[in-house]
Amino acid sequence: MTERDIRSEMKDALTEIFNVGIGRAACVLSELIGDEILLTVPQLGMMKRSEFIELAGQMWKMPACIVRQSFNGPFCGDALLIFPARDSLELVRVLLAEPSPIETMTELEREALLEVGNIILNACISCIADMIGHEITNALPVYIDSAPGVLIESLVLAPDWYVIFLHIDFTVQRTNLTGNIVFILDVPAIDAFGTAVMSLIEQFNGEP
Amino acid sequence: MTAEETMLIVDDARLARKMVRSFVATTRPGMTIFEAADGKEAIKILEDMPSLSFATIDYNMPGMNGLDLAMIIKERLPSTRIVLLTANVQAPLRRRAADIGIDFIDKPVTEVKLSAFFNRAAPRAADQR
Repeated sequence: MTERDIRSEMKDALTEIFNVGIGRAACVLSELIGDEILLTVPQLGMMKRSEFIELAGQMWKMPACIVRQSFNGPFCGDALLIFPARDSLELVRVLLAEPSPIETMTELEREALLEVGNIILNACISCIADMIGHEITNALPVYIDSAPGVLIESLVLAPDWYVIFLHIDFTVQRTNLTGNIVFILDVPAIDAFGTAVMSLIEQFNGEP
Repeated sequence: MTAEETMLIVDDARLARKMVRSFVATTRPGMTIFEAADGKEAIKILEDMPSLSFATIDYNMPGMNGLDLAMIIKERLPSTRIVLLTANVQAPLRRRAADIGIDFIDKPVTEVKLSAFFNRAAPRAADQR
């Protein structure tokens, strides 16, 4: 197998692992808001810090609401759930069953969004842990109002650190909501994660 | 198991196809397996098939979704036992799968889940022989 094949195999496996995690998360979110969540096919990219900061600047020109959850295990890093600020307000309105549009984020609304982030990121991280057969522990989630590029710049310190970027659109039938999930891993973490994913792939490589 | 049993695995993720293939090899050794990465590829494979025993179909794929593909397979080969194998485990999707008479397995697939599907499929397969 060439290095290119391994990268392609790894990308395929990572996409599937995250896909399963997000499917679980969407189910929980769907139960919370009493509506079906339509999911797009996830797109996964793995890139260096500098490339990602450039991409983040292009992708998120509007203010965003971010829930950050650090995780620790055979590899450690940060998981971010990023919603455009306007979509977040709509999601919170649906969650809290508010009849009229919400203009600004109060403490209660922040807490609601934090809980949504907690559910989605936990479902993803737990699923990844189950699939690769390692325990991963989560820190408490934190709510951040920031431009994603600025936050990522502050989290990803070394230029050779990698970012695993997963883009998925969530559409709630009663509203339109787009969310993105970003995983940030440093070089030792991405190596450890890669080893765990490769061992999962190898378990099923016996069959043609 | 009869020698002519066949299965079509439709999933855009290679890992998912490998997992199903591996578990089928353990639970139903000897079954002939075909793979497709999306609905279009699956339909192409089906063109040359006079019958198909089982199909596992992902829901969220590029192009056609898994339920639409299941409907096409049911129309073309009605005796095929189909299971929607998906990470999207929401109740409305489960209901839609049940409404068109296909089974449902939530990802990640395991040997136990796949065996249970074969066991559920067995009585109807026996009726049709």
